[in-house]
Amino acid sequence: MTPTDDTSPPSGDDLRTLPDRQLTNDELAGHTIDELIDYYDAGLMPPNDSIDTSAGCQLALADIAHLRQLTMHLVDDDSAAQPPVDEGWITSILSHIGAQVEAGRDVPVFGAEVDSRVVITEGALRAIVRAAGDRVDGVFVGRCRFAGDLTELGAPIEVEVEASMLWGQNLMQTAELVRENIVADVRRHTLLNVVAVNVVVQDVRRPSHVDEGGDGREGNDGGPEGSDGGRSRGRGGREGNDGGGPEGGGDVSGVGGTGGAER
Amino acid sequence: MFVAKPGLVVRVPLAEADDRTLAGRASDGDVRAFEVLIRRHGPLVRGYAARLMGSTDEVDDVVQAAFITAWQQLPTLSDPAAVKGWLLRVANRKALDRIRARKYHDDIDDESRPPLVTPDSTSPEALAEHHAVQSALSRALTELPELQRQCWLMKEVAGYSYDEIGTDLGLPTSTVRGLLSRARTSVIARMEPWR
Amino acid sequence: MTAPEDTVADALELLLRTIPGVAAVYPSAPLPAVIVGGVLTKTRVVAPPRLVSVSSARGEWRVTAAIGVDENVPAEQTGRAARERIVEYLTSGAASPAGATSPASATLPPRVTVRISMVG
Repeated sequence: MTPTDDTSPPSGDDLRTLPDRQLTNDELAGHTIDELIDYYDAGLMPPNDSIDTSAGCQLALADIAHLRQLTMHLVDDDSAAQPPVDEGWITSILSHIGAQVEAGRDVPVFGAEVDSRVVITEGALRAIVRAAGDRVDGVFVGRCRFAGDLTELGAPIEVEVEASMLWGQNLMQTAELVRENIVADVRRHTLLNVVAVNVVVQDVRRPSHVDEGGDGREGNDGGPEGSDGGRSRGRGGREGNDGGGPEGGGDVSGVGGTGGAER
Repeated sequence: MFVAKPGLVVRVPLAEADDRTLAGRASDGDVRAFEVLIRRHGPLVRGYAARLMGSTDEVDDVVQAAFITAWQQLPTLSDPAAVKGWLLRVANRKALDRIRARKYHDDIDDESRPPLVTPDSTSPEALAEHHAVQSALSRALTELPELQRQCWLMKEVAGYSYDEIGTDLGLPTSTVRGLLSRARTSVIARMEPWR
Repeated sequence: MTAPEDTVADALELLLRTIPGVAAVYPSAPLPAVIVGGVLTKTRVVAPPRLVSVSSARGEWRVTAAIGVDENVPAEQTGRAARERIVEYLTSGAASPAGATSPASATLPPRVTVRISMVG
């Protein structure tokens, strides 16, 4: 039997009908649990004297905090309790998506006429950029964007890539290697007129063998709470890399042009 | 279009890349990066979907459909670093669709579905209290009426706002507040012995 | 009965696969058409769409081919070679475009697009 949902808003009386504990409005200084949860969600801001000085409210807030913690544990436990990821299941997803990649624009690489020409898709161009950047030790290329009129043969093109690098790497030098590789590969494959490659370092990873705190399932998780991701993003604003020191900051941009590949 | 090329030599294991890098690559069409995201977050998404649906039946299908949709919609994800929460939301929508379809097809037959496996509350005493508390919460959630449970999970786990829950469930925000209020009250009450 | 366009498409697909640097031939038609084709194929009424799109009218061939290329050869070089070979084939007289009023040698130059869809 599944209990039925009652979608009508609860009356204030509900709070008084708890079996184990009488949460009366009096006890909560006239506040409701929902108000307290919203207050908690807002980071206890702006300060509310009536809540802050009520023992009942403080008790309820502690419950709420505890419940939040339990919920996060529950999600982790649920996640860990899942059966091992089935390879066939993954293969099936991949076979569905393999044929669905957004190819993006057609970028002409030979022949100006619309109906007789050789083009490369923007998606394939990104694959070239990724492969070129990934060839540098410790580097993963992330998102990649092009600026300039891609659809006009010979128009100047700028490339912007996000990159993840290893902790301890010289970011400027590494970015320069990434830039050189990208300029060289894009030119070799497409003859495109790449005038600049901007490398934005958005993540600095600790080497995985140092990461003994991890649970081994995910390696370095750069999710919102991942320490690496957070720190490097904090540091990696677009400004403040002028010093060019080894840990000099996030945005290492430079103009390539013909100079991009040389230096 | 791209097709993942078998036998491609991978010099550095992409599994070490952070979420933002992987999501960025995947939205650019890198199937391998997406595969790493599936392996990394698949269990979380699966656990969440099972909670939401109150059953592990169909959960593989739902999560699979969620990942396929996620792949198509990745280019619209404005903050690739937030891909984990975003995946939960995509799965949330798929699970709700499935629940609606299920309601339509079999209205009454609740018993035929395998129940969500919850930790056994009668385990040996050696079980850490952690587990007992967790299973109490798990049971409390399982025993919530369906809509209350959905609202609760969407708010507390997936981080939806009241308005967003209302939109996805097709309910007025005031109703969502009411459902959540009931859910919270009963979850807190059920957790009382563990305080 | 196979349309002449399909025969040419099959021949061009085989031709493309012999070109050094060409690693794959992909469907060049938009995806929806391919999906519909897949469904139709199951009913065994219609042949699957060709990977290479070929059409002809008023004495002119129009061809679009999507290829994946080996990263060890410059992609544009492979793409150009593919385009040249296709043009060569179409002007060799092996087949005549629809609407041709004169021998193959006198027809309009074929319009050929080679799309590089994957590198590496």
